[in-house]
Amino acid sequence: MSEPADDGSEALHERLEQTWATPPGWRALSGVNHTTVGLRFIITGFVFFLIGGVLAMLIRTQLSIPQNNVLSAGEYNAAFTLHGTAMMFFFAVPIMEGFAVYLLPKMIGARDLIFPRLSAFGYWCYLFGGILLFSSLLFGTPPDSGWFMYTPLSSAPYSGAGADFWLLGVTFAEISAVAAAIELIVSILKTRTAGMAIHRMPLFAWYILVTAVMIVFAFPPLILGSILLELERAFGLPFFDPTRGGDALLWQHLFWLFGHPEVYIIFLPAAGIVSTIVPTFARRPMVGYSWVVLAVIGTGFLSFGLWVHHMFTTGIPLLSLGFFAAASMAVAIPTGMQVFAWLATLWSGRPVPSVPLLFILGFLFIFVLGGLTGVMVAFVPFDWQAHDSHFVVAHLHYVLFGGMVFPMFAGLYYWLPLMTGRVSEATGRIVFWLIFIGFNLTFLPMHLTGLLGMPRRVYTYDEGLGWSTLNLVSTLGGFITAIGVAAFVLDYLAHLRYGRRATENVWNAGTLEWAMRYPVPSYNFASQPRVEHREPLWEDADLAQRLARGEGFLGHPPTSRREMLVTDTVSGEPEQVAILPGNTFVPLVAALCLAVFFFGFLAKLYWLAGLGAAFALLAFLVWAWRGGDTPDTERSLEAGEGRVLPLHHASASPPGWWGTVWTVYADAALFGSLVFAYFYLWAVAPAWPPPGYASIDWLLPAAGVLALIASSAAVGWGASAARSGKTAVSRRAFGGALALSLAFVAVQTMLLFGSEVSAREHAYGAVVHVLWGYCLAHVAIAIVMAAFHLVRSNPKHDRPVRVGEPRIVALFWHYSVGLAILAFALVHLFPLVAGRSA
Amino acid sequence: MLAGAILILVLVTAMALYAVYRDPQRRATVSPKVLLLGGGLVFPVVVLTALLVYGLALMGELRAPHGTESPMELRVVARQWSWQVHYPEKTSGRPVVLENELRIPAGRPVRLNLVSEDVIHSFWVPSLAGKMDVIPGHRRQITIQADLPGRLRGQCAEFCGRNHARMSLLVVAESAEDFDAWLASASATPSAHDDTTRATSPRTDR
Repeated sequence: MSEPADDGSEALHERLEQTWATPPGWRALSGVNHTTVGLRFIITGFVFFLIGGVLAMLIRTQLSIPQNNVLSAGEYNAAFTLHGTAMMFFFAVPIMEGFAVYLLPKMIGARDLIFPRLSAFGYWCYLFGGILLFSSLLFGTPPDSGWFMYTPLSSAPYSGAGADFWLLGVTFAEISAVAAAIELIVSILKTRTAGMAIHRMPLFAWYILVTAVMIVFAFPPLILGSILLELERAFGLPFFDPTRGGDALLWQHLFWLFGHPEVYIIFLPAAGIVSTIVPTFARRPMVGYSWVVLAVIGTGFLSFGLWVHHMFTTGIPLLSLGFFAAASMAVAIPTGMQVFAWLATLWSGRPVPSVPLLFILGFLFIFVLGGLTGVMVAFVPFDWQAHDSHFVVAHLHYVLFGGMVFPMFAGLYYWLPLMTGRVSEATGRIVFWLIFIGFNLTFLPMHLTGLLGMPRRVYTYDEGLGWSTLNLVSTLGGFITAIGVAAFVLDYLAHLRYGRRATENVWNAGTLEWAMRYPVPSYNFASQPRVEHREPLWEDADLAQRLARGEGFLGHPPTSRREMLVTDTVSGEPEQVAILPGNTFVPLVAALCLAVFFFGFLAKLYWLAGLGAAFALLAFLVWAWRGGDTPDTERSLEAGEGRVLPLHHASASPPGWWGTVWTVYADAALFGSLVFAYFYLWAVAPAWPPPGYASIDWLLPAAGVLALIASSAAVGWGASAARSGKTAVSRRAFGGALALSLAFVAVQTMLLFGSEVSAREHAYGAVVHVLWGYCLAHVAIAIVMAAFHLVRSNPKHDRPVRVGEPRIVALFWHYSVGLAILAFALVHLFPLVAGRSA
Repeated sequence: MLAGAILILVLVTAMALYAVYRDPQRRATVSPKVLLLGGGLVFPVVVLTALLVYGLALMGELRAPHGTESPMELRVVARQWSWQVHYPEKTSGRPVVLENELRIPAGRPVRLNLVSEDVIHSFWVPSLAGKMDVIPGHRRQITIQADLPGRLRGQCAEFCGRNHARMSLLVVAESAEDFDAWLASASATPSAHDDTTRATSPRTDR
């Protein structure tokens, strides 16, 4: 709460607020602050939750009685497709990211996320993706091939423009998820406040770290699948068409390679909320911190080995079924461990009942039930019956609604004081009981409906099959749940006026987000703390006051510059001071340009799509240019505790370098998925190259790759010359690399557009063309980056030397060359080895 | 499995409620580490291992051939939105094709060779066996056996487009004699077109 003004904290507060705040009015669109962006994610996510909920009510109304005709078959299919899509892609993942974006810097004692413009950009991509998808309703062509988009039902002969809306809208939103993930990973690894060693960081940060790493590796397979399917739909490249060498099951593999980790990507942040709230109300630290961390990491790993359990009925061999059944059951172990860690914490603490804790108890019941039915469907013989029946609908809602929506409500009530400065208590209980009873009434009977043989995704059913009463009960429960959600919205609005004003650290919590005044200021902390415990506020009672007086790190900030500590990944000791960018419209403009690209693609106006892409590239260049282009000639400053730290642009490993590393990981996962697709198509083909195709000549392509390898050596030389301050040598080396790489570009362009292998006749030609295009695009980006660096390092302009920049360019350059070598081996050498028998 | 699941659910819920609402002074003391490792590690490992072994054994059994008798082979073609059952052609007589109906002899294994003409479908007669997806470009087989004569219901279990809900199948299991008699008469029926050999489909509203 507000401090007396005489200790100088008010003056400090005003100065910081001036520098960090998001401007009012329409200029708020330029806001990049994590509190602003996080709230935008949460509110937009909640709106999609309401839209998905309305669709769910339509579905339940249609199924309430046999032979109902509220919706036609087509409308029903669109409704369940949009319901699933909205809930998975536009509610569950983004709102959890919203919680992370909003809370994480506050919990780790930072002032913002490390790449504020990236979070803003991610938000706009998400919003525009959602608008793009739902605009299909205005055109009367909503997607209706299911939220899982199985080919060939989602391929051109069997579905209309709705599928294009789905593929482009969802991919747009996935860009946002990957951007937020990279942002969160680097923020957690590099911006924890002083002394917050990795074993002291809040459990929530561990959960978000693992989730974000999972996003980096799990979303690319679906992005790749969507790109391939869109290429098939728009240009006839037959990846999934069995009549032209493609395979319908390839989509299922790519989809579930994403889709199963996705379940845990939704669940883990919610479990992180639980692991934050339980200790607060149990009045003791979490039992088994290290065990929980291990369990979370274990869940992350195992979740990548489960995807085939969505495909138990596709007729794949029993041996692989056995493997995936074992993995599916194994993932119950780390989950069970977390459940017992929460129980043990409550049992050995002195629990204080409260609304957030009530939602946690509801979560425990529903989630454990969902977990148990999960073990049942991992039991293969049971799954052969339950699969694609309403039993699975019940199971997945217990896991996702129980596992994610209940913790979300717990979190919303828990962190409400940070957002509004008020609490809501009595009415929250009514909301809980309505949702809890409504939910169980909807989905508990649905297990039985499924076991009685009712399949999923049917728009109606006949009388006399024993499903009628159960469906009516489910519909009734659905509406009670909806009333509960409406009650939450009303409660939220009412509490803005009638809610009790929250006292300082209202729940007596131990984590740093409660060391702030309410509603939270844009800069979070007037000075950054030194942390020596996992629950700093329990160990250090007047920490909040000292920070507000500016007695921590960076407590004497200049105006008009956003400063934040960058620390060592393991020990949390301060290393650098990052100067964060201020409010800017560039992320919005970049996302709008991308929206033009996606829209042009959708409307088949490819010139417009090209224009959008070109302007997006321009916006990114402006973004990058402004990023390091601070006028400061200062190289270091005194940050606190008498330490003099370099500013980030004077460091050889600035945050941007870490961001590039994780971007490369995400991109490698995308390329890895493409390699998987290549080998998959090879495995189902009778011969490779398929009958009637000659091997592609490898001599000229080999020359192109050799030129590229030489360019990589030049770039390496240039980067090391830059490190030792020999700018002129470095610039010559980068220039040479550019010239060499153009040889590769020429060869690759010839292959891509002039090869005698058709991209449309057979999946073989299609996948080869995508590999060529993939490498060409990457080398082109590397060339743009190197050119950008040459312009910026031009000594004539007397800009401060950015030590990290040549390293970043070199990193991406080497990576692109690596891709080109691998692609060359796959396209030109592998068929020689694989021969004509497969 | 069901009883075990209910037991675990009740236990976990009871423990949570006890932990939160029981006065801490009068609550039984349990070492948190024992609770964490006993409940969260030892218990699930033991139970899940047992369940997995049982599941794998059962899985092999269910997919293994039924008995020693050689199964009757039928071809089932799935398409938007109907099932076609092709009976093997005899040297004499007409090919027998049924639409949305599957006639089989009771007490004898029947192997269905499943193919799709368009999108993915899934063959599911809950009373006879689990599901088997029917995927264009792939050959899939499932062996079923009706132990007694009777009429059963089957339905497509993989979402396959607009009228997925209407893609049902009537299974008629008859005694071996009745079945043979039916097949003989169906293939002997003089007809210029297959259509007359088709049984009335349970539903034809596309």
